[in-house]
Amino acid sequence: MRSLLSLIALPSLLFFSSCSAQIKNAQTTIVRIDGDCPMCEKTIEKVAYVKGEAEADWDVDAKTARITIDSTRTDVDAVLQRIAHAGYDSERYLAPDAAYAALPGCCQYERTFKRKAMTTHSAATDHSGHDHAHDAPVTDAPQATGEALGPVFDAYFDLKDALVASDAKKAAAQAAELSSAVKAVPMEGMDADLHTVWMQEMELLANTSAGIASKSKLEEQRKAFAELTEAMLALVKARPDTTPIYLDHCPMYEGGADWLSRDKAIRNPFYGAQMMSCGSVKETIVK
Amino acid sequence: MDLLRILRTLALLIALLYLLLSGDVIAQTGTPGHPLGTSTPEGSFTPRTTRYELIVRDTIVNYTGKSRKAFTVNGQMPMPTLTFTEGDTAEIVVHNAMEKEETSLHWHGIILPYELDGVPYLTTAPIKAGETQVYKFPLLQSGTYWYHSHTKLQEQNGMHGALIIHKRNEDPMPEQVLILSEWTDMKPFEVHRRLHTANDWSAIKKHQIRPGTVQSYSDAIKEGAFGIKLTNEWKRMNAMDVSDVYYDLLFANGKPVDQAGQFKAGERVRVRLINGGASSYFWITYAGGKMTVVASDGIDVEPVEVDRFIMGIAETYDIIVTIPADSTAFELLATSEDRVRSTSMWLGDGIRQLAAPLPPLKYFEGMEMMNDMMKMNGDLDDMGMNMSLQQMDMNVVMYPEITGAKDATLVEGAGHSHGGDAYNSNALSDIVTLNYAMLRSPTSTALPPGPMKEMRFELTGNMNRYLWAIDNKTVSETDRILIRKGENVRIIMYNNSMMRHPMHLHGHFFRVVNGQGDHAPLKNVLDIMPMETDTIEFAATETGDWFFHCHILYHMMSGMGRVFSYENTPPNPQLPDAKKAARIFARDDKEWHFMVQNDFATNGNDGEAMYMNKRWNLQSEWRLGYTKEHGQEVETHFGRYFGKMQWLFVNVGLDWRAREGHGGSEPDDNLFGQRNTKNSRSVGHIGFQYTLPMLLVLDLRIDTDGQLRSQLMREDIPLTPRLRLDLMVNSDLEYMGRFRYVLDKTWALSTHYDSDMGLGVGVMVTY
Repeated sequence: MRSLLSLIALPSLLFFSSCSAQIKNAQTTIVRIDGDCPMCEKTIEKVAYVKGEAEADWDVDAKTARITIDSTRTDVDAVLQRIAHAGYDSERYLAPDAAYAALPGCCQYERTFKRKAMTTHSAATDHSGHDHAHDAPVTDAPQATGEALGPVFDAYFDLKDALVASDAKKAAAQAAELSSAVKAVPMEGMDADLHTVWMQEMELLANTSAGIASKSKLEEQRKAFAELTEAMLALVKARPDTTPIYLDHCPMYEGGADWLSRDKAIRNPFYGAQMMSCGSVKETIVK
Repeated sequence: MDLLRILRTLALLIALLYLLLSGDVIAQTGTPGHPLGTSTPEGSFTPRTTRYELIVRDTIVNYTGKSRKAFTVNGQMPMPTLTFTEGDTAEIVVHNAMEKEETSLHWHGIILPYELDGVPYLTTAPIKAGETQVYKFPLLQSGTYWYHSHTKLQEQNGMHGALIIHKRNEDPMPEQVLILSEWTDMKPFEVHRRLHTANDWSAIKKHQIRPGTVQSYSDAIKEGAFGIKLTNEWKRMNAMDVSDVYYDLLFANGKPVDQAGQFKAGERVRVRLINGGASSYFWITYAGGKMTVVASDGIDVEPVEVDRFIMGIAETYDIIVTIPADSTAFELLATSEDRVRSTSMWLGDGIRQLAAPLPPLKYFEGMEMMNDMMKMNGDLDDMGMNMSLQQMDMNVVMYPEITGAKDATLVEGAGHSHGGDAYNSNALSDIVTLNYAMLRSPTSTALPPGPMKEMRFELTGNMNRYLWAIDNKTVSETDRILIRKGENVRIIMYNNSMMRHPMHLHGHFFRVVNGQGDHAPLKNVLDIMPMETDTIEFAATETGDWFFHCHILYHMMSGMGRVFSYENTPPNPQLPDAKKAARIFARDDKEWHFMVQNDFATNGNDGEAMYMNKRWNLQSEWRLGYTKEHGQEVETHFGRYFGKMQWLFVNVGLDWRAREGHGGSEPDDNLFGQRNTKNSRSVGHIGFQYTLPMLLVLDLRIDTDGQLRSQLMREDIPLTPRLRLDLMVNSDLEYMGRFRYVLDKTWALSTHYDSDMGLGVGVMVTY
């Protein structure tokens, strides 16, 4: 009897132990998180951890964390918010000052992200009226750094045109192209500002475009497209071009949604022929 | 009041002049959901008609993975923001495109003729399915307002939206509208029904996020607060909570998180905040520094700088915040009062600067405070603190950020120092919390001369049966209160209930008497905390009927309100059959709720059903055995509850049972020496139930055969958050004990021992 029991128990034990360490639908992201010492590591990893949902492995030297999440149950932002609430700045979230102040002395790391945010502040307030004064040196940087994103923009606009034409098949194909274009962007030589934005948006871009590529229904593609636009908008704003890009707004779709276009004329990608000219230009983004 | 009256007269004059000159008003057309013709040339005083077309539909939404019904207007939820300019005429065409349901829209805080106020069957005709209603009124005011359905519980899932009226020629400044609301996957009807059956599933759900919310005995022991919990039940209180409903999500402009990225460093932004929630108060905090409060309920106040403030349901506040840096988004955080959930608006774009989250409530500190304040008769005792205007906030004992971490303050039996500044948040910490005493009108709000009509309202209610009322009378149980045009009305309110209430007056602004003399602030919603006494005053300048009610949706639907009715109001063309309309209006708080519970156990079926309204209850209990020895019994009674705490329930009923006796004869006598009729009974009875300390229900009855029965019962003792104990013993020498483990809102596992049926295990279903 005992041997029979262990026969049943053994494989099931193996099964459970191999399962417990794993996160289903795992999606891994590497994020920069400020911190100083092994104690920081302990805190960061502890607050990040939710059984079966999220975990982080923070490297004190590189100051980066490998965050693994079950993408069906949570997102990286939720993890980074928990870490920030515990007092640690990351490339996406700044900790509340009170949370930072509450850290033990040895953990009071240098707040590089925070400092950077506050520096842009002084630049902006010192030159009020010249909003982009602090951007001046950037214009000297080789145009190539921005051009690296060329294929991403091209793929996005092709995808938009496919949605305007209500062609689900073509939209899926263009989305796949966008997804691979995102992965192919060389990050070397990209200047710091653009790099920060790129790091913030890259994951969403890659995921959303891959998502659209996997969908066969127009409604689903369009829903994801609205999300995709938010990420693209951040990129356009980080690196405006001399040829204008138009931010268009459709008030009807899902309580209001935006898209980007190179043409001034409204051609609605959320409704296509159903409501082709619904929407208006919200902003013209030009260097 | 002066200011409003002058503005009103001015606007009317201008409107009249224009009409005379042009012979017509400008009505423009365009796409639905957009302001049509709001572009008034600067400096011009030409009044415009701003027209909106609103199409109400019901639809299926999915926020959490579950498909649920909700209402949209022009495909949006919340409803679209309506923007006007002061002096304009608003023309709002509302189409009800739903198949069956009727609806209504109330313009919250707007001064308008009462027949356009949008309270169905009280002031305005309901908008039946397929019908269209046109609202046309001049806008005599400016500020942040909102609009919502006043029909049933429609406001909860979608029918709320912002209504903004800009000042004429105001200096343009960056601004952002933020309407807060909640989402529950449970149908609002179900939420309401469960509240009336003292079902604490909401607390269990909250407990999963914020441990301790159920305040069970195990939680109490963990916190070293066993004695506090015991005293709490001794004083006949169920677990105390600051809010009753569990919400799956909180919304900022209809989204879990919203962002306004357009703002630049150094900009001052006016945020127009609206609490469009059905039952949640929100704490507002900001990651980018102090907030300057510049208006409340649409009306300007002298700027006051604060770190945080609480928004009562239906209140609006305008604040000015500064964006400290570029490439950074600053969190404007709205946290529900129970601190279970929050929602955010990010101001600016870039790396996100979080605001400090509000730490969890110290529930047992709150419970101890309630124990101190609660008298044995259910009245509250403010211990001579003369509380008013949110200055003494008893809840601070639960706020770790004000009164320190848990362990520091909870010393059982030690008690707190009362009086003085013990509950004055601003004296206890460096955090500046807004209260009503800090609001000051920039202009005189003194009332015009006239006779003063003074009335006192005591806000009453109980959680057990979810009865909420004024002077223990609901809307349908009282006559309308007559007031006369030209007189002034003063209401002195005392909150003798355990919950705070946001009291709202339709169609008028009242001055909140707050020590600022002639500069008392004008509001249309007043949050009044337990034990507070507040005084409000308004000039009776209108005509018609106006609703005054608690804006917690479920309190309003339970009858917490009054109607002010102007004398000599001509018949309302909107409601040609006034009597019938009044009857339908009164129906809301007369609603009957059904609940049923059955334990499918190995030793029999054991259950009860109730069909009840606020005062009456038809109740049936059954025990159906599977064998002849176990037999079957059904008891049914019908009766009425008395008192504001509703501890007394007088009833008549029928009692029927049949089983084969053990050994053929009736068993022993009962406790009163009468022959026991446990085996065969078919009698009527009369008796009463009374809730004793420890929430023990004493049930005394005499039946038509002259048999007496006395029974003690306690149900739902929360041993742990999910494990409950029911106990019963009576003078027929019957007894019962049952453990229940709550799985979800419907299912529970149970095991019970019963003197008649023996031991059994089962599955329990609750509806």
